[in-house]
Amino acid sequence: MKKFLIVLVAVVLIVGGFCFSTYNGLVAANENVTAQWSQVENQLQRRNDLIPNLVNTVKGYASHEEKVFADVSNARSKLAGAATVSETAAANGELSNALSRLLAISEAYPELKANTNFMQLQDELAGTENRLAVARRDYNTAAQQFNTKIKTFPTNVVAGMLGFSARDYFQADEAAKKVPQVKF
Amino acid sequence: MKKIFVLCLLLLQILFLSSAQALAAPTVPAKPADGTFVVDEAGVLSAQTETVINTYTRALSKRTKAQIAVLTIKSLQGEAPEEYALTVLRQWGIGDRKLNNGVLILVAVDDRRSRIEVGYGLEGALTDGLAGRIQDDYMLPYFRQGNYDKGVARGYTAVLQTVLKEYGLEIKNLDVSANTRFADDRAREINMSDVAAFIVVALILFGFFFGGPGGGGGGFRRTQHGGIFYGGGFFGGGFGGGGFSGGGGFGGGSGGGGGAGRGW
Repeated sequence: MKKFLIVLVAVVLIVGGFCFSTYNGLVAANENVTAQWSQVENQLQRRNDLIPNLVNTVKGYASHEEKVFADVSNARSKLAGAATVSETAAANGELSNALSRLLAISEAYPELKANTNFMQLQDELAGTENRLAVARRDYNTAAQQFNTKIKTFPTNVVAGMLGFSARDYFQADEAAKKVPQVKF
Repeated sequence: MKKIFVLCLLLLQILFLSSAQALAAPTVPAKPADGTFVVDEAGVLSAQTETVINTYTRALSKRTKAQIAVLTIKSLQGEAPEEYALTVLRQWGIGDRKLNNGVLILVAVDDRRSRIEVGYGLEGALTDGLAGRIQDDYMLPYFRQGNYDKGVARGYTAVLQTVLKEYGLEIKNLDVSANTRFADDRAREINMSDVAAFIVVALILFGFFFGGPGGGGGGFRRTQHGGIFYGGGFFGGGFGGGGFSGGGGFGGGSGGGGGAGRGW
């Protein structure tokens, strides 16, 4: 009987210890995903702040290209209203597309293309798109690590009991993956 | 019975080991030895340029923990320059671990692409727009002529000045006197043979390590661009590799894709 008790206590200790460490590991991984997501949001915001400047500069040289301006502004407001990761990803793709068309306009306006302010904005935008791509990749890596954790044995048992669920990936559509190319 | 037990153990091990695989990153050159901040895989930089870059980044790192590294390669092997540069910045850990104040100047010679990759901590000082302009103004004009050595030297100087400004410093504030004497005009006027020059530099360096910088010397004159490089150094070569240890290695900094790229 005594022996049985000792074994029981040992088992409880081992299982309990395992649960605790697994739980802590899961919380840390989950927090990491959240932190990476806030990086994505930072970069989205940063790009959002750049847009008015860029649009105004282009307008100064190519005021009649209204279609592109409207597309940019539509995509921008759609992105602002996005709530989930997948909505954000879709709206982001649309905005990236509209912005690359806006940049492409400059090909037809040599004066705009040579404008130093425009060149700088172009660099800032390309840099932000690139940061966004990096933040997205970092987020996806973190989400993948977390998701793998909660789906593989034996962590999945604990995760299931404690109500952890998989995090969404930021899936960009192929067209939006390309960073706008800046060539001179 | 024993066999079943072993089998179970093996199975468990497999389950535990099947962990997440990291998303694919480009293969980049290995981190150079401590105190070296230039890797010239394309073989386009002069020994003098390498020495000056190493010397100044070491001094910069000592003073501010910021680090500027240079990598030249022949080809990106189909990778995007942004991804390549970021992988190098992160894998080498350019800049301080906490301050993330590293910068990488990448030149892919055969691809005719360059990029200035900026760590998180310097994004405010070296904005994307500025990183682009430094390449436009200081690097591309020389790259187009095939003079990579000068383009890198000028670009490095511009980046160095920008970074220093962030810390309220100037090039003249950096403690590099002993190491840069070899580029000094007075030494050039004497017009010694390479061997003699090497001995003098070795002596100066010896003095630098054992008892601080030696006496006088003309100090170094700055070029009209406020630069730190001189054309036509008198060292033929054969000096770059030697190097002095110390000055520390990369600090473990990271970045998030800041900077700008160019093609020519």
